[in-house]
Order: sequence, then C-alpha cells, then structure tokens
Amino acid sequence: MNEPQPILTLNDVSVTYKRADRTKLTAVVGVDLTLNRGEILGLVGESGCGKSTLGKAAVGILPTSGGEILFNGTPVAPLSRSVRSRELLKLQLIFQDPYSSLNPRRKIGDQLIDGLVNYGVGAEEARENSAKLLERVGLSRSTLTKYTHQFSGGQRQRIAIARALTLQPEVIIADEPISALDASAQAQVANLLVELVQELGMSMIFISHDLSVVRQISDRTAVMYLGKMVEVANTHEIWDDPRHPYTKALIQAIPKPDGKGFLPLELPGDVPDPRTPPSGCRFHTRCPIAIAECSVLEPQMALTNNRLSSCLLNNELKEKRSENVV
Amino acid sequence: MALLEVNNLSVQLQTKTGFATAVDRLSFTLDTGEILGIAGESGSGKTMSALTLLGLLPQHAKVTGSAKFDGQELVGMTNKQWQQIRGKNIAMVFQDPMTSLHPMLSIKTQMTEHMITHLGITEKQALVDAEELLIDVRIPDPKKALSSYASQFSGGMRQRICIAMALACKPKLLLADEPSTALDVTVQAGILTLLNRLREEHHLSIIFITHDLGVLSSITDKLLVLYAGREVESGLTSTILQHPRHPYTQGLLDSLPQPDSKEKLLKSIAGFPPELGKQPIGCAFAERCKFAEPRCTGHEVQPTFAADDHKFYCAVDPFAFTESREVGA
Amino acid sequence: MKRNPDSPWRQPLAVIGVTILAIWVLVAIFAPLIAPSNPIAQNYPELLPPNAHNWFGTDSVGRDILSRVIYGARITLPLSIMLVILAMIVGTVIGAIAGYFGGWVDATLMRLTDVVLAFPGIILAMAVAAALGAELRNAVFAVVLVAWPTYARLVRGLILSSKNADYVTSSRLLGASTTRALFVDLRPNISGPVFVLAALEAGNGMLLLSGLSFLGLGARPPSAEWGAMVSAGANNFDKWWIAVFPGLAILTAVLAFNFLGDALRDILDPRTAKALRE
Repeated sequence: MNEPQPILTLNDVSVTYKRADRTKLTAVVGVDLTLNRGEILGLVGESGCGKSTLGKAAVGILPTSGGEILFNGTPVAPLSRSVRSRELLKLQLIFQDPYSSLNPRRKIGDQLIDGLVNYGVGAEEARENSAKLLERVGLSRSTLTKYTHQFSGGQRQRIAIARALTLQPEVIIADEPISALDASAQAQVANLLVELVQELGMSMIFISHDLSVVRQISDRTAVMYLGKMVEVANTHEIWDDPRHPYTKALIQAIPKPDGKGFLPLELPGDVPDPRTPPSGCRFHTRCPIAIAECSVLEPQMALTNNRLSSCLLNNELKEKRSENVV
Repeated sequence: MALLEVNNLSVQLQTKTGFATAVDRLSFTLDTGEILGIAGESGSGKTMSALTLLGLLPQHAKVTGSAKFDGQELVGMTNKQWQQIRGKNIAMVFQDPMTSLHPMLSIKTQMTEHMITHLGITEKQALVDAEELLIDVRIPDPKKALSSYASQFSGGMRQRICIAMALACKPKLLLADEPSTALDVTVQAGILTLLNRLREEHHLSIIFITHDLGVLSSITDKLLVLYAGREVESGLTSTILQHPRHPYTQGLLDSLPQPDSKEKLLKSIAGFPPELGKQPIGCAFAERCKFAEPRCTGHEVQPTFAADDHKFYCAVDPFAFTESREVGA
Repeated sequence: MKRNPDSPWRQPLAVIGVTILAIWVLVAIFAPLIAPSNPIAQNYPELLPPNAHNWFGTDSVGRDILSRVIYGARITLPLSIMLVILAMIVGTVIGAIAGYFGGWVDATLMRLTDVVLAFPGIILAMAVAAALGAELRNAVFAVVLVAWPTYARLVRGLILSSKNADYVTSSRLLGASTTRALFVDLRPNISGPVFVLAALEAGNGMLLLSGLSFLGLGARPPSAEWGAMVSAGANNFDKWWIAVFPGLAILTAVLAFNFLGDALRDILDPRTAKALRE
C-alpha cells in the first residue's frame, strides 16, 4: 500500500460561537484530523457534537478560534469580503439542505456557471461544462433552464453536487448530504458521491449521523463527542473493535434488520450543554464504564495498541481498566 | 376478538383530476399488546392508513371497507363520534417532536388540558397524573418538566413528552408514525425501548409506521409491507425479515447498508414508485422489479400463502427456494 | 372545458387591474379627443347636476366635470408613477446599503427611517409641502420623502435574511466576491418583492398626492387634479357630483394598482408562478 499523503490537515482546531445572548459556545475543541489523498473519511457523532461546525470551519465558512487548517499546505482563510484565493477553490462543501443551498429565484444554469465565470471562463464554455456535469449526476441538460422548485430533494442535491464540482475540487466536505432526503433517494445520492470521488480522484469528508452508511462507504471513521474527537481508525477496525465506550454505544444503538427482535441499546441521558461541558472526560456523565478519575482527568487522543482514542481507561489509566473489567 | 380488525379498507383522495386511490383494500388485525409494523417508502399509503384510523383524513376523502376497533365500526363515523375515540382510545405520535408540541404553552398546560376535557377529572388530579406519565416515559425531574416549554428539551425528550401526552387518556391503541426517524440512533434506541416496555407493562397495542426495517425488526411482532397503497407482503416480523418472498421486501432489505460487504456502494431499488392515482392494474412494483414477467401486470395478483400467517402478492415468487437471510449477525 | 394553461384569466384580478389601468392610460393619452369640453373653460351654468349634456354635471364655476376628470388622468397618473419610481430608487439604495454594510451605517440609516415612519405620512408630507410652497412639484417631492422608508425596510430585511443563506455562502466558496454574491445571488430575491411593493404603493402615493391637493398643498387651481377636485366638492356638500366623480377616478386607479400588485406578487415568485400555470 502507498504511504498516505495528507491533503487536508486540521491541527488543534477550535471553533467558538458568540451566541445571540452573548454567551460563548465552544463547539469544537482542539481537534486534530487528517484527510488523506483519495480517501473517504466518515465523521460521525450525535447531533450537537460539533461535526457540522468542524466541517464548515474546515472550508473556511466559520472562523476558527484556535489551531490551523492546511489544505495542500495552504492555510484555509475564513471567508471575508475579498474573493477566496484560487488555491482554496479546490476545497468545496456540500450542504445538508438542498432546499437552502440553491437559490430558488435563479435559473439552475445561471447558478451552475457561477464558479467558472468567477474563475474567468466564458459563459458559453461554462454552460457547456455545466450541462456535462448535470448529465454526469444523472440529470438532463434541460435542467439548465429550470428553477429548483421543479425538482425533488434528491434531484436538488444532485444539482448542488454538480455545482460544487464545477471547479474540479480536490476535496469535498459533505455535511450530512443525505439526511434531508427521502429514504429512497439517500442511497442513490450517497452512491453518486462515492462514484464521483473515485472517478475524479477526489477526497471526501462525509459527515453523517447515520453510522451504518458511513460504515459502508468510508475508508476511515472519526467519532466526535461534544466538540472533541474521541476515536479515529480504519472503518472496519472501529466497527469490529470499537475502543472508545462512546463509539461502542453508538454501534450498539443501531437496529438490526435480522428479524430476531434485537432491541438496540440506548445511551441514557442527553448530550450535555456545550456551554458548560462536564469536567474531566466529557463523556463520563453517560459512560457505562466511567470511574472516579474520569470526572477529574482530561483524556488526550493517544495511540495504544496502534489505535487512536481518547479514553483514560485505554491510555492514561490502562491498568485500571483491566481491574475494572475483571 | 382482535382489538382492531381492518377489512378491505380503501382510501381515495381528491386530486385535480378526480379521485386517486391512496390506500387499496388493506386488511389486517391487531391484538391487544401486539405491535404491528407498517413498512413502505414515502407515498406508499402508510401514513394515510394511520390517519384513516384517527378520522383525520383530508376533507372529501372517500373511505370504503371496514375498520372495527373494539367491535365498533370506525368507517363512516361522525365527527362527534370521532371525538370520543380520537385521543382517548386511539392516540398518535408524530414524526417531528419539534412541531407537534406547542412552543408557547407550558408542558403542564398541554398535558392537563387534554386530560381534563377527555377524562373529566379535576385539574389537581390531572397534574398528579401528568407527573406520573412523565415518570413513566423516563423524563428526569418531571415536576420541573411540567412547568417548562418545548424548546427547553432535546428532540428525544420532546418525543418522550409526546408519547406521555398520547398515553394520557390510557388509549388501547397507539399509532406511531416515524416516531424515531428524526432522532439520533442513541436516542432512537431509547424510544424503541420505551415503546416496547409500554407494550409489556400496559398491554398497549401499537402500529409502528416507518421505512426503516431495522427499527421494525427490533420491536414489532407482525409486519405489513406496503407499496403504492397496496399490501405486498405480510406476516410475522421474524419470518418476513429472514425469508422475504416479495422482491420489493427483498429490495428494501438489500438497500440497507450491508455490514459485511466489501463493496462501497449502497444498493438501492432503481426508479421511483408510481404517482398517486397512477398505479397499474396488477403488480405496482413490476416496472421496477428485475424479476418482472408479462404475467405480472394486466390482472390482479392473487395472494400466495407461504404459511398460515405469511402472505405475499407476487406471481413470480423468485425467492421461493432461497435460504434464510443472515443479516447483521 | 380545457383551459389554456397560459391564459391570463387564471389571474382575474390582474386582468381587472390591467384593464382599468389601460383604460386610464388611453383616457390620458386621448384626453383632447374624448373630453367633450375644455377642462378649465367656464362654459356652462354653475352647479348643474348630471344631465344629458354634462354627464357628470358642472362645478361651482361652470366647468364640465367629465372633461376635468378625463384631463385629470394626465396629471395624477404620471405623477403617481413617477413618485413611486423615485421612492423605490431612493428606498432600495438606502436599504441595500444598510443591509449590506451593517454596523453603524445600518444603525444610522434605520434610525432615519424610523424617524420618518414615526410621523403619520400625510402630516409629514403636509409639513414638507407647506414648507416648500404649495406647488404640485413640491407635493411630489413631499410624497417621495414619506414613501421611501417602506422600500428601505423591505430591501434591508431581504438582504439581511439572505446575505448568510447557504446559497450565498456556496457562491462565495466558488470564488464570488461578496459584492458579486450580493448582486448576482440577491438581486432576483429583492427585485420581485420591491416591484410588488411598488405596485401596491402606487395607490398609496396617489392617495397621498391627491390628499395634498385636497388640502390645497398640491395642484393649484384651475388645473384639473383629482384630489383638488374632490376638495372643491367638499365645499358644496349638497352637490354630490362634484366630489364623487373624481373620487371614483381615484378609487378605480388605486384599486387597479393594488390588484396589479397582488398579481405581480404571484407572478414574480417562480413557485407560485408555476402553480398558476398548472
């Protein structure tokens, strides 16, 4: 196997929001993450875990409050009044809701050529290119002259994907791209993304709360909880042998269509308020195997037995775990 | 006698071009304490059939056939009669807990008002009962919850409150329309556990409607698979999921992510279900079915009984000799 | 019966509005041909009720009211349209600047619109018109001054609500400058509602202008302005015809503008436009 080449690197990234009531909310805390060339990285976690925030920060929509993000070695600058730099145009995001990511009052063709026109390509050539992209995502050329309301959610998401592809991106960050779609359209759009990534040699971070989809399509999986990364590993490793108790809980909560009446295990309690996160390990309030130290010591991401996770009982307090389990 | 007996129930909706059949001759029975799952894509008529059982169909909808609840015929009831049944004997939980609670009224007001009018109890008693209900659905600190508003709860907690409200008048039948689809898996697991416990403790009968066969597998006893308003397969959940006979059921199962597959692509059933009112005569799934033969369309498909309690509507029956599925071991 | 899908009859109010306005425009253009008499000539006995010769009667100085109503279309209609366009331009520019730049620019401009909106329109217009002198040109200016804040607020709201929309963000990710994103992405969102508002406001503007003339702050006698004519009628309450006919002219024109505005709202929104065609 080839040595993995990082294409998007997040070092110690934090994102802090100022909320309407002027309180600050740190949605992402000190996250390290690397996306390698040609890979699909799944990013999962419950709603409110900061995965979408991280995705938006990674393309520069949200400013970071700490750390750095490097795309092909170029620092990702937050969007400002000025035009985005050319290098960064190869880093694109697909939004969750295809109803809001396309302008209902502009013809689809006019929206699709935006990117190329900004890039200095003539309108005619850009239209031709857009028509080809539309055909590639499974829509007809006549889509160019229509408005979005004439399309279903799945079709709109295809249009949004075509739009993101106009500048031949190298990295796509897909922020819950299928969760707003009808069940029957979900698989089709997920497949389209996988095919495009493979065909065009792109890399993708696929953000989703649907673990079973991530399991099928991604090479590696990263799990977040309350703004922090808790585990990153090859997808099959995570599934066959989850190391962090939160990952384990997520997997056990997935229902199985085996007809054997398997009742998925619930993870009691809610995700705590991110404004006042629990001390020590952020997961200790819901963790089934937490011990006293977990509420005091803050775990770090660390490599143990070749696996990266942030659980005190895996790393810092390894001896305790064996006692605990026995 | 079964709690609910539905026989040849059809619903026709008025459209611009006339009446379109949304539910086509549906029959099933539900016993006390039983959970029936209704599976199907959007537009399969699954929500419509639930609304029929609550008398909540749009105006001008035509309902024919019979639906007997506790011996009482529901089809053709007047609005006044519905008010005696709806909420009291048959209650419903909807998909979106964000919109099914009133944002400006306290939980207390929403819960007790309903109980006072339906049960004729005092406000004091209603308050006591409401607190008990919240304990029953595992809301932490129910006293505080009663004086809170919907926006102060997470999605999972809101759905629990909705369930508590649905249970307020001790209904015998609960209709749950995609109650866990909008929730995280961890929270969904909690809701499934809760519904399962309610069935065991209160002998509640539940009709659980969703497109997610995994969810249905976990708590339902019986399954009814709908396509384009018609039954395609029905029977015991375990039988259907382990040995589906209709190609559509098979397709639904295949389209779930396959844990052991090395293939990165998800399987999906190509094409789209027929539009409302445009169902063909014969098998409605034929145009998307890879096993379809000329004999599938043109005349009614007769049911085949794989066992006494396993029925399917496929003339070709391509899976007659397939071995049982082993999914997600 | 199968209806023609593009038939304007799907929008009956629009048809009524357009028809009425078209009639008034024709009346204005061909006034010299249609009018039975000179609008300012005192050719007839005073205060004649409607009769076979003077269909709308005559006023206190013996002018034919029908002719005056017909000639009035030449004054009131173009002025109303002009003042609406002026108010629209001023309001849109101010609203767009406020919404786009935000911060203190926004705060200052919006306080200014609050000040204008805090006064009842007619009173502010009266004050301005009176200060500038009773002349039709000044009345138009006064009405524009009163009317622009509505547009400013609308445009600012539209820009604020869509400036951070996903589709604008996505345009910017594709290399659009903020200005381009605003002009290309937001212009279609703004122009529709602004035109609708303009059509609806045209009626208000006309009423305000007529109101000023009614109060003697607009058109000077003997010019045949509808508002001024209603005012003249107010001096002769028992002679109903003097005020009623110009009043009806104002009423029909205002209604027509409102119908047109409602219809425009449906037509300019691609979603409802599609539903209309179906």
